[in-house]
Amino acid sequence: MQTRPLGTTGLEVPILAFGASSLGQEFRSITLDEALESVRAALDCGMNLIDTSPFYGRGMSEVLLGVALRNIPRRDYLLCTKLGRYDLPHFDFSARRVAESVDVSLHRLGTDHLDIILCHDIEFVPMQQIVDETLPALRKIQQAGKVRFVGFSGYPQKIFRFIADQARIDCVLNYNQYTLQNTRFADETISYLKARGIGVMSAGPFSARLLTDAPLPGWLKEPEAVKAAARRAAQLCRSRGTPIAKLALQFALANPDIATTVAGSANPTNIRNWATWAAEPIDMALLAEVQAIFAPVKNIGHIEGLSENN
Amino acid sequence: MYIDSHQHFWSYSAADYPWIGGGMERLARDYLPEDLGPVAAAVGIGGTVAVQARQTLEETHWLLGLAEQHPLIRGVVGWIDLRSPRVAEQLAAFVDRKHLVGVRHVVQDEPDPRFLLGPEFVRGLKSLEPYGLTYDLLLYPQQLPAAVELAAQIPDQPFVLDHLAKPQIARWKSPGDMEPWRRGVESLAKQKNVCCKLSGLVTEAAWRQWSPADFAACLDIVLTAFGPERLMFGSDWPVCLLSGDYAEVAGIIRDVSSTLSMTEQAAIWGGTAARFYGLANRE
Repeated sequence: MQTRPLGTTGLEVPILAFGASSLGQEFRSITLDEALESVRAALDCGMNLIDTSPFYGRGMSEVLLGVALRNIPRRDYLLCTKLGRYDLPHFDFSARRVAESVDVSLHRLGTDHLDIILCHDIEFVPMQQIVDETLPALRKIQQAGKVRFVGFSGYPQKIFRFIADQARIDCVLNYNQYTLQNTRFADETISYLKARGIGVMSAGPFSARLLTDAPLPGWLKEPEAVKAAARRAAQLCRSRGTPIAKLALQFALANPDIATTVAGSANPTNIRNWATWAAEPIDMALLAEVQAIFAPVKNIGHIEGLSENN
Repeated sequence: MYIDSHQHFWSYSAADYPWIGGGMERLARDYLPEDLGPVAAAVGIGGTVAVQARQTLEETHWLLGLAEQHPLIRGVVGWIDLRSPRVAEQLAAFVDRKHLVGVRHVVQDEPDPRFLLGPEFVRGLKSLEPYGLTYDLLLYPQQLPAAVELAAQIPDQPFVLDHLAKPQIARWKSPGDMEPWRRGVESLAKQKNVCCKLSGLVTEAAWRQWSPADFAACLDIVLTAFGPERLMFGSDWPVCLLSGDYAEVAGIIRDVSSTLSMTEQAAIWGGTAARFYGLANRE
C-alpha cells in the first residue's frame, strides 16, 4: 500500500486507512469472527492505520479492536482514536473527561499509547472550549507519553480555521467532503492546513453509502436531488462494469494532499476489494462522466452540530 | 443537526402568562434564545422548534421574528384561531414567513373533551394541509379518543402528540392506573398520520424528586406504539425547569434511545422532527 507523510508528524501513513466504526455497528449479515477478520485483512493489505472512537458502538469498536489486535506486534500498526463524543447526543470535552477517556481507550485497545487522538465532532459544542480546555489537557497527556499526536475531527469546513488559528494542531480529520459529489475539504481547507504543516486525513469516500450500490441508510442527510444524482451515477457505472464504489475510492485516494483516506467495513471481502482497487488506475473517462452528473449538486451538504459552527 | 422539537420563549408578564401560577416562580422571567442556546449546545443540540404558549396572533408573529434572527430556531409552531371563519385570512398573513411549520391550540384548557371535533375547529384544521402546516395536539388523556377520531377524519393532515398526552405519572399508584392513558395513546398511534414528542415528562412526575425509572413504562409504550421513526425528542424548556434541568431531561431520553440502532436514534434526535416539520437542514 502506498504511503504519504502525515503533515509534519513524521508518521508515514497508508493512503487507505481502516475505519473501525463498522466494528461498533450492528452486524447484519456478518458474524463476529468475520468482523474481527476484517481487521486482519486490513493489516494484511497494508492498511496499518486504524481509526476508531469511544463513540462507535459506545465502546464496542475499541473493545473489539483490542481483541482483534491482541498478539499483533504494536509496531505493526498505528492507532487513532477520539474523545469528547460518547453517544449520539452526548458530548463532554472537559479536561477531567479527557484524562479518563484516554485511559479508558488505552485499556480497551490493550495498549500503552495512542498514535493519534482527535477531539471528536467538535461542531456539536461551543468550540472555544476545545481551544481553552480540551487541547491544553491533551498536550499534558501527550507529555506523559500516552498519546503521540493531537488533533480534532468534524464535518463543517469552518471548524478547521476556528481551531487552527488559535492552537497548535498536529492533524485533522474531515468526513464526506472529499468525494465524487462534494470536494469542499479540498476547495476550502486543505491548502490552509498544508501551509501550517497540519496532517490531512479524510474519511467517508463513499459518503455513508451514497456512492455505493447498497441501499441508502434512513439517516442519510443529503437532499433528494443529491440522492437522485447518486442513483444516476451508480447506474452509469454499473452499465460500464465498474462499481461506483471503486471510482469513489480511487478518486479520494488520488489526491496527493490528503495523507490518508479512512474507510470502514466489518466485511473482510470489502476490505480486500478496496485494497485491490487502490492499486488499479482510475478510469478517467468514466470519472468525467460521473462528475458531470454530480455537477448540478456539487458541494451540497448539510448543517452539522451547532449553526454557528457551520 | 440534532433537534429539540419542543420549547418555548417568552417575555414574561403576569397578565400574558396567567398559567404561570404559585410554585412556578422559576418560570416568571424572560426566556429567550440567548438563554436556550448554551444549554441546548451543552448536549449537542443545534436546532429547535419554538412552540406557542399564549394563544395570540401577536405571539406567533413575535416567535417568527425571533426565528428570523436566531439560526437556533429552525421552526415555529404558532397559534391561529382555527375556529374563526377568517382562518384563511390569518394563514395568508403568514404565507411569507418560512419558519412557520405548524399550529397549536391549547386544547388541554378546553373543558369539552370533544373540543377537537367541533365542526368549526375541524374546518379550520382542514385549511392547514394546503399550506403544508402540521398540527400539535396538546391534550390530556381523556381527550385522546377525540384525537383518534380527528386523525382518522383528516388522514392527510400530519399531527404530532405533545408530551405523550401528559400521563399523570405522579398520581399513578398501582399498575392499572395507567391503563386509560395507555389505551388512548396506543389507539392514537394506530393513526399513521400522527407522530409523538418525547417531551414534557418531568413535569408530570414529582417535581425535582423523580428518577429516570419513573418514565420507563410510558416511554416503552410509546416506543413500541409509534416506533422511533415517529418519535422526536422535545425538552419543553423552560417549563421543564420546574422539575429538571435541560441536560437531565435530555439524559432521560438519551438513556432510553441508547439501546436503539443508530438509525433509530438519529430519528429521535432530529430525523423525525426534520421530516415532520420540514425543517431546512442547510444554511
